[in-house]
Amino acid sequence: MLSIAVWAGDVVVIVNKENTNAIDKVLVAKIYTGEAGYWPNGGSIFAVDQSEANSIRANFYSSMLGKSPSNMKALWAQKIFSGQALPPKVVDTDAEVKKVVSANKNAIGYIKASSVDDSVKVVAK
Amino acid sequence: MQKTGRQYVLKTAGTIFLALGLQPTAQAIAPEDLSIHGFGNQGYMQSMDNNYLGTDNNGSWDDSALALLFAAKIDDKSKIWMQWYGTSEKVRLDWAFIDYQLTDNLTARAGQIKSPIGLYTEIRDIRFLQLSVLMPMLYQDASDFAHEAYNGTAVVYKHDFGGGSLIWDAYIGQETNFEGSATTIKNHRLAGGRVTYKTPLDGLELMVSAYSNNKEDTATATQGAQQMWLFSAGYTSDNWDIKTEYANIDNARIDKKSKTYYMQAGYTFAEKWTPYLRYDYITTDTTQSADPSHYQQTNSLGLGYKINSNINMRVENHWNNGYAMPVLSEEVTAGAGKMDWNMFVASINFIF
Repeated sequence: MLSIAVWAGDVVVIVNKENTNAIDKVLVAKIYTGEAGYWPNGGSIFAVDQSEANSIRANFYSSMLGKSPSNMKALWAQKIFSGQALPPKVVDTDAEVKKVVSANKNAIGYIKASSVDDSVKVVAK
Repeated sequence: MQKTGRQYVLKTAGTIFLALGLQPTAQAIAPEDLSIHGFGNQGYMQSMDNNYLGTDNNGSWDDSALALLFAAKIDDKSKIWMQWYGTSEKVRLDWAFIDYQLTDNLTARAGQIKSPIGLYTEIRDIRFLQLSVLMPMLYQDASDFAHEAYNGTAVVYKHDFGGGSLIWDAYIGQETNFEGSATTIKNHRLAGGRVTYKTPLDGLELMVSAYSNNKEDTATATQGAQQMWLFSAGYTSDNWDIKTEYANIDNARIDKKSKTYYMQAGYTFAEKWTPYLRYDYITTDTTQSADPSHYQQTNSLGLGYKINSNINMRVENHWNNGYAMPVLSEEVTAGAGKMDWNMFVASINFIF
C-alpha cells in the first residue's frame, strides 16, 4: 500500500507505510501549524519536527509552510500559552524521524530526500 | 460566602484529579507526554504624572513576572493544562483545565480557563508575544473590561469555511477572583463566546466576542450584569503586525456605558528591529466623555529588538490626554489629575 510524499526542494515529507490518507501541501501546512489534529481517514495525527539547530527545519518551514522560523515560534507559543495545542515532537536527526514515523501509523515527518529508505514509503510527484 | 482564591485552586485541582481517576486506563503520564514551558519579563515603568500603575517620575523596576506552564497528554483525546504565574507581589494559579476532543472538530473544557475575549486576553501576560509593553486600555486591569479567566466549562467548535476556518468558542461559569484582588465584588453567572474567522489570506483574522458577567458589590448592595461586545481584526506576517479592536461595554450594576478602541501597527526589518505605534481611546462613562476624569486618549511610539528566538526587548513612550485609567485604578481622584501626561516603559521578555 503506497504512502504519499510531498516534495519541497530537497526536503521530503514522509508518512508510515500504512497511512492511506491523501496528503497535499495544504494539509501538511495545517498539521505543522496546529490547525489539523486528525487524519481524514481517522486517527490522531502524530507530527514530528526537527530541532532548531538543523537547517532542514528552516528549509521545510520556508518551502512547505511559507513561514520563517521566528514566525513559527511565535505561532506555536501563542497556541501553547493559550491552551489550544501542543507542538510536534522534536527529534534531532533524519534517522530519528524515520524511526518514529515507521513505528507509528499516524505519524508524519520530514527528512532530506537523500535520507529516504524503505522504512517509510514515498511516491515521487 | 465569596470563594477565596485558595478554594478555587483546590476545587480546580480536585476536578482535574477526579477526571484523571475516572480514566478507564488510568496510568502514570509518560515523561515524553509532559511539556513544560514558561515566560517572563523584567520591566521599568515611569509615570511622569498621575502615578499610574503605582509608579511616579522616579520610575520603578517592580514590573517583573515569571510563569510556568505544564501540559500533559493523557491519551489521544485528552490533555491537562496548568499555568502558575508569579510577580514580585503574588503567586497564583493562572489556569488549570482538562480538555477533551469529542470529535475532530469539537473540544470540551472544564476547570479554570483563560477567557476567549478578543485578540489578546489569552496571552495578555506574555509580553514576548505582544507588540508593545503596555496592553491597550481594553485589556489593562484598571478598566476591568476583559476578565482574565473563569471557572466553568466551554466548548470549541472549528470548521473550514470559505477557504479559511471558523472557530466558535462558548463558555459559562464564574469569573475567577484571583487571590488578593477586589474584595467586595461577588461574581455570579458569566456567559460568553467568540467567533473567529481565519480568512483565506494567511495571517488575517476577524473576531467578534461578547459576554454577560453578573456581579454583586456587597459593599454597596448593587448587582447587575456587565455586557460587552468586541469587534477585532488582526493581520500578522513575517514583517507586519497590525491590530484594531472596538468595544462597547454596558455595566448595569453601576449604570454606566463605556467605549474603547485602538489601532496599532508594527513593522519588523532586518529580522530584529520592530518600530511600532498605537492610538488608543477610552471613555469610562459615555455621558461624561468630555471630562478628562472619564476619558483618555493615548498616542504610543515604541521600538522592539529581538535578541534571539527566545528573548526580546521593547522601549516605548505614551503621550496621554485625559486620565481615566488612573482614576479607575484609584491612583488619582476624579477632577484632580494632570490632563496631559507621559509614561515611559521598557521591558526585556523571554519564553521557553
